[in-house]
Formats: sequence, structure tokens, C-alpha cells
Amino acid sequence: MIHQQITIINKLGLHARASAKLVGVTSRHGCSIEIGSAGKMVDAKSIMSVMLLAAAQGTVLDLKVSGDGAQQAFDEVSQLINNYFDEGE
Amino acid sequence: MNISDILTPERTFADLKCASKKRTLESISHWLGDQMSEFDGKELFNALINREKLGSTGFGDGIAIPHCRLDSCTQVTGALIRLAKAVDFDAIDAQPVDLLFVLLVPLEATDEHLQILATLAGSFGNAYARPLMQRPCTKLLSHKYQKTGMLYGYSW
Repeated sequence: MIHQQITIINKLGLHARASAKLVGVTSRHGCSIEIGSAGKMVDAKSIMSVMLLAAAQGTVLDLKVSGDGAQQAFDEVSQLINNYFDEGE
Repeated sequence: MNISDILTPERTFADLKCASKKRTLESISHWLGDQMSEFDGKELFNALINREKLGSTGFGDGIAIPHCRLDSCTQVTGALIRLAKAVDFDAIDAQPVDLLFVLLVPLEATDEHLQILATLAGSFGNAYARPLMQRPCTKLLSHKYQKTGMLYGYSW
């Protein structure tokens, strides 16, 4: 299992469109992907669950990935978040 | 923030009849524009449609949260609509949509926007909320709300 922290850096945070993009990436993978913070980890393949986090810019989240292809999934999710969800800011 | 802070009985509508996603957003936009002087129905429709072009707000399980940021919006405003018949909404799970929460947000309200999305996700994700909202609306709040307001008393 991969377990690392990742910071939400885009200006608007995990709003609806960013959450949809995240789910677009996570749902392509068969492994288990959870995101959140201690005590509030959610299924990163469910857009409603991801929006529940209300993660604003600067929020540090835990990312837990396990199962087949975990490293690939982790890399893709990290890249999306670290690339500001392709929003440019 | 609570749903009741942004939703009023007047801004709920049960069994709206619309044949498509576009018509649905159009009807809702004009309905809200007629009710609230600060919003222009056509402007609202354009803003909502433009947001949909970036990706559908049909988030699965028949639920959509169409939303947009508006210059003319001074406080977060919500509207809850149930359709008489579900329409194709290009939803993330490809299921048709029959329950919509429309959200109008001021341009700069970033954190507030996230909080209200989380509240909505929590409410819609709640296994109890959806059956309640789908229940036949036999108990009306008052005669005035025979069409509008029906969903309000049940929902949150």
C-alpha cells in the first residue's frame, strides 16, 4: 500500500469540476484509492464523497492506494493534483 | 452552513416537466429569473449551460448540481427541483437525472462554495434523503405551494 500526504494547491480547491477530474482518473484503476484526512477517509472514486472533503487550497490530504497497479494510480492522481487539475492556477 | 440558509420553499419545484437537459436548465433559469429580480433568466441559462460544457454536473444516482458563479449574485442561492421524468444529463454514470439542486454563487466565494458543495454531497449521499424527496408529495406545506415548496418540508 502507498500512503502519502499531498497538498491541494489549485486556487479553487476540490470544487465540483476538480472532483470530477479526480474521479475520472481514479475510476480508471482497479485498485483501492482513498483520500481524506485522519478519521475522514473517503472513496476517491465517488464524486459525492470527494466533495464532502471541502478541501480548499492549502489543505493537506492523505492519499492511500492499494492493490494492483497502485503505483501507476498514485502517480496519475499526484500528477493531476500537482498540476492544479489543469486549471492553470 | 445549512441547506436552509440558501433554500426557501419558493425555490423548490416538484414534478417539473422537461424533455431534455437544455430545456430543463432553460425552464429553471427563467423560473428563477422571474422570481428574483437580481437574476436575468437568459443570463442564468447561459452561465449554467457554459458550466455544463466544461463537464456535466450530473454526479450520479440521478442527481445533478448545476451551478455557476455570477456577477449579479451577492449571496449563495439554491433551488431544488424534481423532474416529472428523468432526462439524459450526460451524467458521470450515464444515468438520467431527475433531481437537481441549482447553486448560484458570488464570484469570489471560493471557500463558502466548497462548504456548500460538501453539505449538498452529504445530504444527497445520505441514504434517507433521496427516498424522502421521491415520495409522492401529498402533504403540502400550504395551498400556496401546491407546485413550489412541496419538496422543502421533506428534504433536509
